[in-house]
Amino acid sequence: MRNAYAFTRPVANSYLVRERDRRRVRELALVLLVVLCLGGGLLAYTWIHLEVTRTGYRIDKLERELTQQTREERQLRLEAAYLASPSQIERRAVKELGLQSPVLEQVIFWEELP
Amino acid sequence: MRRRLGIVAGFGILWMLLIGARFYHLQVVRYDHYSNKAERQQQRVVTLDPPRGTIYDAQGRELAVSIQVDSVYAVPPEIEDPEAAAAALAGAIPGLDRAKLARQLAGDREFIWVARKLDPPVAEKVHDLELKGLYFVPESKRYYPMGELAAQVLGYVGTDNHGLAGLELVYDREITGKPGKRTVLRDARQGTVAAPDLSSAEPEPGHDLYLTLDATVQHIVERELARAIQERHAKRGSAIFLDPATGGVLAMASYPTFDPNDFGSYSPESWRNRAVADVYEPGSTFKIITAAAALEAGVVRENDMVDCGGGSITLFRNIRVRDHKSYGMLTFAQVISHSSNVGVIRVAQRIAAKPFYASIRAFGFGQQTGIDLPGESAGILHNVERWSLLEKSYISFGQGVSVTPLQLVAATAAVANGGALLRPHTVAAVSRGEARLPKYPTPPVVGRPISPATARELTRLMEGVVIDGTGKSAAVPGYRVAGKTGTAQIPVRGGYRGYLPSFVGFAPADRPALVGLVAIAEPQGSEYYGAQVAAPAFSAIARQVLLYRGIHPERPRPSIWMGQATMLAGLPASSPAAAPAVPALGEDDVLADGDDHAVAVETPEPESDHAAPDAPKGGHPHASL
Repeated sequence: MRNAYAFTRPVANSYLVRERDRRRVRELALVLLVVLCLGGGLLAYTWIHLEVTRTGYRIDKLERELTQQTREERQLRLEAAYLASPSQIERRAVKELGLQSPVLEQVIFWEELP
Repeated sequence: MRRRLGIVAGFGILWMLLIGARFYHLQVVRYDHYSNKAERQQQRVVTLDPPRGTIYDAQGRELAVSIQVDSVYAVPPEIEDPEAAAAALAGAIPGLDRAKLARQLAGDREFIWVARKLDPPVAEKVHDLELKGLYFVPESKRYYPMGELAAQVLGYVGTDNHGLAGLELVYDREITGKPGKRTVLRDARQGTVAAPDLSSAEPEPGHDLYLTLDATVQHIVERELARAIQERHAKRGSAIFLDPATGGVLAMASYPTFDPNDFGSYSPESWRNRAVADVYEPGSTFKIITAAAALEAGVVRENDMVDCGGGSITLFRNIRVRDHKSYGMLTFAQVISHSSNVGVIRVAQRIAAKPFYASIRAFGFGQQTGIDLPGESAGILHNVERWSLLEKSYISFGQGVSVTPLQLVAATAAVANGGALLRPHTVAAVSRGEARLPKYPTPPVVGRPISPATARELTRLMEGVVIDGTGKSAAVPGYRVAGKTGTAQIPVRGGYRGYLPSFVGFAPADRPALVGLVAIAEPQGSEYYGAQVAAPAFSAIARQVLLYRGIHPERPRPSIWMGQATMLAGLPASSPAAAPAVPALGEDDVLADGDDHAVAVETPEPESDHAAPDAPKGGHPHASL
C-alpha cells in the first residue's frame, strides 16, 4: 500500500566528487609523522639500550677471558722463572746432561783469543 | 551529550593530573631516594686488587711474582651433605682438616673459608668437584719461583698480601700499589654487565724492584756456604758479597734457610737474616780495622818492626793474651799476615783511645749501615768514655766489640775501593711506569775512614795474608786475593762456647770486583779455624763468581783455537785440567805460619784478688751468629 504512492526518480549523482579536505590530510600526515618519530625514537632508544646491555655482556665476557688469559700467562711466566732458576739449571746440567763446572784452564775469555 | 563528554574529559584530565603529580613526586621530589635505591639494586662496586710489583734480580730474572689464584669459600646452608662435601674437599686440598671442615659445614654460619689462595692445580681439582654451596673468589698470591734462593733477603708476604719480612716488608708501600674500583650492572640472575659509562678507577699496579743481587751469584754463595756448613757439621752461618765500587749486594746468604713459598713450615730461626741481624765478636778479622787506624794515624808503616815478644803479652796483672807461638820480631806486614795478637796489641797501644775509637766509628761499627733490609743490628761498640783499661787492647784483636757480618764486609769494601765507606744496598732501581729510577744514581758514600794511600798499603798487608799468611786457603788461582782470617769464640753468659771461623776479603786485589765474607758458626771436629773452614769456602765462591762476572784472570794469553776450547770443555773430571782449582787444605798449610787462632785470654780465677773488674769476660752474651 505504501508503494502505491511511491515512485522512483533517478538521480544522476555519479558525477559528484567528494571535495578533498587538504587540511585533514595535512593533519593526518602530521600525526603520522609524529607517531612515526615517536615510535621510531622509542624503537631506536630500545634498540640502543639493548645494544648497550648486549655490549656490556660482551665486554664482561671479554674481561673475564682477559683475566683468565692473564692469569694463565702469569702462571706460565712463573713456571719459566722456576725452570730458569740457577739451581734448576745446575741440577739438569749436572744430573741429566752430565756436565760439570769448568776449572780455570777450561775457561777462555773471548778477549783472550788471538 | 556535551555535558557527559565534559564529565568524561574532566575525569580523564584529573587522572592525568594525578598521574603527572605522582610522576613529579617520584621523579623530582623523591628522585635522590629512588635513584640511590635503584643503584644499590642494579649496581655493584667491584674492588680491583692491584698486582703486587715483581722483584727482579740484577739480570732481570723474576725472584718474586704475584699471580691470581682462587680462594674457595662455602655457604653451609646450601650444602646438602656436609660430611661428603668435607671428604671430597679434603681429598682435593692437601693439609685440610676433614673433621673440622665437616663440623663447620654442618654449622649454621652463612660463610666459611674452606681454603685461601690455592695453587692452580689444586683449585682445578676443587672446581671439578662441582659441589653445591661452594664458591670461588680470585685473590692475589705471591710466589717465589726460585724457592729458597735469597729467602731472607726477599722476605715473604702474609695472607693479606702485605710484606712481613725482608724486602717485601721494607718496600711494601712501593710494591703494593693502590686498589681500583669498578661499578658494574647486576642483572636479574646476579650476573655482572660491564657498564663503561659508570664510574671506575683502574688499580695502580705496585712498582717493580730491580735488585743489585744476582741470582747466579746468590746460588753459588748459598751452595758453597751450605757445603762448608754441612762438611763441618756446623750449626749456622752467613755469607755476603758486595760490589766494592757501588756497595750493591751481589749475594747475601744465611744458613739454615727456608722456602718463602711455605715459610710457615719452617722454624722462625731459619727466617732470620743473619748477615744483618746477628752480631758476633769478629776476632782476628777486626785486625784489618786496627791496622787501618794505625796506618792512618801514622804510628806504624808496613815494614816497621814490631816486637811480638815471647808469644804473649800481659795486659794487666795476670791477664795475658797469647799468640799461637812465639814470633819474636816481625814486620807489621808479618804481624797481620801471621795474625799475631801480641803484635797487634803493641801497635794499638801506640794509638790513643779516642782516635782509635773514632777510626772504628768511621768504618761504621756501632751503628747501622742503613741497608734497605729490616732487622739490622747496630752491633756493640762501647763509647770510648766508658772504655775500661783493657778495652782498647781487646778490641784491637776483635774482642770486646760485636759486629754484624754486613758491617765488617762494608768496612772491607772501603779498603778495597780506596777508602770510601759505601751504604750497602740491595735495590738498584724502582720502576715508575715504564721508567726505572735508580735508587742511587751515584755510589752512596757515607764516609771516608781512610785515605787512598792507606787503603793501598792495607791491601798489600791483606794480600800478604793470602800469599804467605794464615789465609793461603783463600787463594784463587789466576787472581790476586786480599783478605783476613778470623776465629772468634762465641760468647755466652759467663764464658765462651764454640768457635766462629770467618774470612773477609776481596778479589782481584789490584782491581777489586768482589768483596765478601764467609762466617760459619760452631763447626764440629778438630778443624775450626777461619783458614780451615771459612777461607776455602771464600775461595770456592770467589773463583766461580769472578769467572761468572767476566773478570779475567792474570795469565798468559792462551794460544788456543776454538776446537781446543771445545775439547777442553769436555775433559773428564779425572783429568789434571779438571782438577779442583783449590788444593785440599793440609794441616801444615793452616797452622805452620801461626794461623790466627782463638785468643786464649787468661782471666783470673773468680776468687782472685787481682781480677780486673772491667775486663769483658764472656763478651756479649747475646751475640748469636
